Amino acid sequence: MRFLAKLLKHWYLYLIPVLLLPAAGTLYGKQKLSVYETSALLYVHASDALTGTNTDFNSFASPAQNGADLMNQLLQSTNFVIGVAQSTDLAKQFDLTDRTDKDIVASRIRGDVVIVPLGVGGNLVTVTVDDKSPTIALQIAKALLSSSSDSVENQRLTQDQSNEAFVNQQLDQVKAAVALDVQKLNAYINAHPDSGTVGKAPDPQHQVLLAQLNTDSTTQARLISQLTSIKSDEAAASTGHSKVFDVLDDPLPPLRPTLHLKGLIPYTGGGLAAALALILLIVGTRTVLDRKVYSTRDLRNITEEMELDIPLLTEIPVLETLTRSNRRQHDDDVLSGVLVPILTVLPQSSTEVLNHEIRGAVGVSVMDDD
Amino acid sequence: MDVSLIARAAAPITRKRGRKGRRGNEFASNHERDIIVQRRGETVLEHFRRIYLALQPIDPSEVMPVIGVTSSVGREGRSTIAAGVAAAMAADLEAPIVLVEADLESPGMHRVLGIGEQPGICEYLRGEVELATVLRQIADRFYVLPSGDARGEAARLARQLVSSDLLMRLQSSGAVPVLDLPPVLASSYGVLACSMADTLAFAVRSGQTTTTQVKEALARLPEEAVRGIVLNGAEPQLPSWLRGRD
Repeated sequence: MRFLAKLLKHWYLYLIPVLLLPAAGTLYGKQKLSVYETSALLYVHASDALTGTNTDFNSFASPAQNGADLMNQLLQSTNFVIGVAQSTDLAKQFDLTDRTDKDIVASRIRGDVVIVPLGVGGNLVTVTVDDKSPTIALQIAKALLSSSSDSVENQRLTQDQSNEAFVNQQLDQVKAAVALDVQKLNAYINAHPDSGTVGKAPDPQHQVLLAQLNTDSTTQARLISQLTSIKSDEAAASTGHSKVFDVLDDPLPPLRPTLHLKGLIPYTGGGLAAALALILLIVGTRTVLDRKVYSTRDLRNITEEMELDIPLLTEIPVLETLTRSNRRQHDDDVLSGVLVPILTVLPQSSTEVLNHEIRGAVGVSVMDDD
Repeated sequence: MDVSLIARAAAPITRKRGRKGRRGNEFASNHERDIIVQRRGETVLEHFRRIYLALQPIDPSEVMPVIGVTSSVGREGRSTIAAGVAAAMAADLEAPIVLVEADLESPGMHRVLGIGEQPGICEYLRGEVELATVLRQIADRFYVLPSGDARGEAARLARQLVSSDLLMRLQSSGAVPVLDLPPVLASSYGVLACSMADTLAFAVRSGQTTTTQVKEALARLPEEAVRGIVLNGAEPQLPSWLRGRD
């Protein structure tokens, strides 16, 4: 109860931390959470790079989904992220060869970037970058778009080169097979001049050799076509003409910080919790350290502890004084001022009999006094 | 004192307030304040009455003991309690009551009762004035002996007071002395001065005096002399809305 009494006695003072600390927490959170935001709008092409030659992509998903997935996957690569950071002021602030700094930068960029496909159309992707620094936010956004495009093109080039080598190898084999087929067919025709002649019964062996030659020739033609396509794609990729996406809206320098109000709740709540904890600490400490006597119970505890049989005679409450000036005048005495009405309650003698009696008793004659 | 008579006097004032507007209001307000004070005076007197009634002998034929009010440290309301007890006794008893301010070091009775500080007991003990000169009548059967100016000799004068026949002279005249004693811990002659009283009321100021001070002071006083404790300035620790209806 004493704790509660102490808490309620100066409750208005405890409003100060209750108001100030949440306000301070909110301000701190506002400062900490305020970020500069920039965003870009991309149009992702439904090219073979995303849905055709690359088997990692989901051909049932929209180009926007595939494009967003691709960029998000790239963000998981530390090398890619550090490559992005190389094009920003982060490279000046951090040592990007140091492992710890790399992790810090990678974590910061991953936390800053949000890539989501838009529900409209199926080709649109937004890339949003939040950062404490407006410059770095813009730099990250631009570097991310550039690096993503470069990375995809590099991947395509590598893939094309690999495919070209593979197709070339296959083509060589098929060419050899075709040459062999021609050689075999020519040898057979030379040995059997009538075979294949019109009007004669078909020669089964000749037919087989001819069919094999046709098959191998078809395969050869297909591989040549495929190789031509790969070379074309490779040439486009190596010259930078093979774009996975077009930037519809370039990222712009952010003008004002953006604040997400929901993020402030923990800071305001934390301030309030700190205020309550502070109040509990103060009141608790005051309660524990306070050794003053407040009630009859305290007095009873003292007499019981000292094993004294002293009763409580009365409990005189605090009474207001007659006037405010009286209260000031007798500030040292809680009951000063109430004695004045007490004395007015006392009967005022109309005679001087008692006065004379007592004065006479203490050795002064009434006559002398008068 | 019949408080109800005063209360009845308030009735016309209420009617006057209704007729005379603002001026009537102020007039009534002042009178009502006086009435409240009178009622409060009676109520407060009841608190002091309880003190002397608890300290007086059970047998009314016995001589009223010398009641002293002390405390552990200063500013605990000793002077007021002593004056209140004296006032209550003066209101109830036939004998004249003399309030003796035995706290020579830091007297406060003149402030409490609004009387002149000098001459007082110190001047009497130094032989500068007669006792009757320092005796002040406050009300019917209510007298005060203020302490006067100790001029830095409070301890010596206190010793002289204890060994003097002052109280005996008062008692022999039929008066009942009530002593406003110095604090036990704060005054060097507190315990000595307490020896003048037959029975002691020990004042404790709520929210000011520490338990350590109370214990130390009680330990210094003779156990049989301290007949009761008065908790002064007691306030409800919880606000009324939390306590419920008293």
